[in-house]
Amino acid sequence: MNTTGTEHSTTGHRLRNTPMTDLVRGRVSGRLDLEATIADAGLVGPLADLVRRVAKRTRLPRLERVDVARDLAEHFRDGLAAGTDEETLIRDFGDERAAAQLLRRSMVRKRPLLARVGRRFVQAGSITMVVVVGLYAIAAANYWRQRPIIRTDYVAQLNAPIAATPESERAWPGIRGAMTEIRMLVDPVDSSDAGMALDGVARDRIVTRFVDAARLSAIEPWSGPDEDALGRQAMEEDAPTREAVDGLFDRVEPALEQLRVAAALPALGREVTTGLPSDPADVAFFGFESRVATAGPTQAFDSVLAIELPHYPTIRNAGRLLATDARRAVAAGDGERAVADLEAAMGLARQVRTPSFLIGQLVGSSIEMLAFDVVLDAMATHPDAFTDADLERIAGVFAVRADDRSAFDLANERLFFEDLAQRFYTDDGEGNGHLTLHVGAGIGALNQGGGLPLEGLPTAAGFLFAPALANLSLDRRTAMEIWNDFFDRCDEACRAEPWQVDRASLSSLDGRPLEETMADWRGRLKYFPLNLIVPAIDNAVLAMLATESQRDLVETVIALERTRRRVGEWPPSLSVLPTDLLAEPARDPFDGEILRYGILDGVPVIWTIGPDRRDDGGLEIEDRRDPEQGRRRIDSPSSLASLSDYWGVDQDAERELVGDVVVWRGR
Amino acid sequence: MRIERELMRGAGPVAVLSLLSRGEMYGYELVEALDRRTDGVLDMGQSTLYPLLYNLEAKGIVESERRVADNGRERKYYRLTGDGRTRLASDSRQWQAVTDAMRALGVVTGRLASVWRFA
Repeated sequence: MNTTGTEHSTTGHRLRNTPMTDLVRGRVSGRLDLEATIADAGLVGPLADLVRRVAKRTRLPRLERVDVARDLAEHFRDGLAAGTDEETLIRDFGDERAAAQLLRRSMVRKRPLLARVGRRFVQAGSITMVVVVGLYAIAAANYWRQRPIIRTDYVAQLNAPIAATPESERAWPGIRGAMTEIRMLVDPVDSSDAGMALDGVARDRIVTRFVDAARLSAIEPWSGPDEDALGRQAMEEDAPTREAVDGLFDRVEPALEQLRVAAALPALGREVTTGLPSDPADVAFFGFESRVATAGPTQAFDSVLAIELPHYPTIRNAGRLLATDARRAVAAGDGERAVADLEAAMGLARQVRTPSFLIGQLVGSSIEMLAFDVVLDAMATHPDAFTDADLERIAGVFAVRADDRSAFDLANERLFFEDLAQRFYTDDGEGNGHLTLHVGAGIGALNQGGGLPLEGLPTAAGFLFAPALANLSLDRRTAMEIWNDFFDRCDEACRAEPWQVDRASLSSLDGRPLEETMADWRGRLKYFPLNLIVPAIDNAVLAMLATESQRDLVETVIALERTRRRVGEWPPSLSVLPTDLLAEPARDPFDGEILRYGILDGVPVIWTIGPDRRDDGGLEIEDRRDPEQGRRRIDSPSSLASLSDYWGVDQDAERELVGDVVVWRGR
Repeated sequence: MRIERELMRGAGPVAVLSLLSRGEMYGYELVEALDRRTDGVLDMGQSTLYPLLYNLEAKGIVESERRVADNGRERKYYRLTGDGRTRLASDSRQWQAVTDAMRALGVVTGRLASVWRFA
């Protein structure tokens, strides 16, 4: 295409056709302008076209192309000046394609050595790039050829033993019925909700307030009145009165008896589901009616990650009701009812642990701790509420748990990653595969109860980047091994004692501290999604060990009281407790020795050596740390559980926390 | 008569060097001179000449300079370098040896040999 002289002369045109080197020197030379070069030679028509075509066919950089064009144009101009006609010049020129090739090669040879080396370098780089891209394309094709295969219905697997449990052995219908009845027995007149139409959740809140009030108005804690809680209650204008509390507990006694019966059954027997519960009675109980229209399975098998466990709070509330009723029974001198309540609370704790999810274990532990507190408080303030037979029965209830020390079962917690793996990793049929691009959106969808978009083409960016990202993350087999290793260490820690537990091991993944796997993008990518779903297991294991330690303490205190009754005075040492009453006294979680014990100021006192790991003869801890540093203060007296932050072989002695911590004191 | 391409590839450069040994010339002038002096035997078009000149330049055997000619227009003139003269002398001796050998074999006649002695 020819351009006019006017166009050639414009500053913009010249600027666009000036090499950068000239511009740097302040010259607007315009010497990259091929058309101007041809025009300057005075060539038009076929000769100009020939020069233009040959110059372009050389595929040389613009500056070299213009040089070639200038030489050719000058040649034709000289030929015309010598009287040769256009046709002859074109014919004599020869094959323009071959000419362009020869011109290109010779111009390339003319370049400086550095430019030629650079060109070779670029060529080598280009070839390498093509090879790499080719290999990557093969890898990408291979990546997209494989798909996740959802083989196992883990939800059904979880529910299989539940479905196999006879209806008569299932506790949940009885618990639900009892809790429904208790809800309906709450008298709104007793509270600020009077006159309002209350749903089940609102009624549960009222029950909780009554239970709180009842707990405070029954027996005192062994450590003395809970002044803080009593103060808060005194500030509440509409706190339930003692009469109202008594009235409610009188009314709910039949329901509590129903709870006791249910808690004695072998299993909880509630199927776990994603979305809506399968039992219409559950839908009504949990107030899920409004979800009926939108719920429904979205794929072949629902994921365990989307399982809902709305019954856990209900069971914990039932446990609190029973523990509180036990307190009231102790205060009323009704040891038999108290024992029945404690037995039932321990039954609920056992039932809620199956299926063995981590959260279920923690709910079970929390109910057990409520029962333990009742016993410790009762042994200090109302020991006479229990007959010898009552004490023997309580000891038997807790001894059952002692035989089952590894009750902290996380087997089903492992299923979370197994289920996630079958949905978000490809399946090569041999237990391996790679992470797919769906995982990010998929986890979010599963958490909301939705499914996984397994079908559909990837975006261009997804196609390109997913194989690279998959190679940066762990493959399925390795991820599974790390996950199982994590839970193996948890199981091992659960079998250990508090003074033996390796906390660093518990909070690590693949030998690296958990926080390190999230510290940089490489760790986040490599361990994704393991690091997202791995539970805060170290705290959970410590909670379990705290429960076990507290249970051992309770057994010891019961044996202490039974020994006092047998010999007529407090024994001088825990090691002399009769073995028919207690196989072995509780151990100090800080050093594994028998918990320290003495008669101080005429009363029996049991203490732990505390975070300083030194026995100060029961002299209570003096926390010298600045509370404004934000660290939790250690109070004494206290519970063993409150000290669990300081347990473990890898915990240094806390030298600033001088003194012991009293964990039970008689009166 | 047109010369085979392979022969032209060997003869072209020494012919151009030979012409430039007399003084600097521009492209069209070289084509004309080759055609005229060899009776068209070594006639080469632009498509051969300019790549040849660029190659000789790349080897440092010739050098070029663009300047305004007598007619007032810019032209690129080519001339031999010192290396070019050395190369011409060497090539001439080789061609002489080849020609003598060919003559001894009766392949070439005195006429063709005389063509290569135009310098």
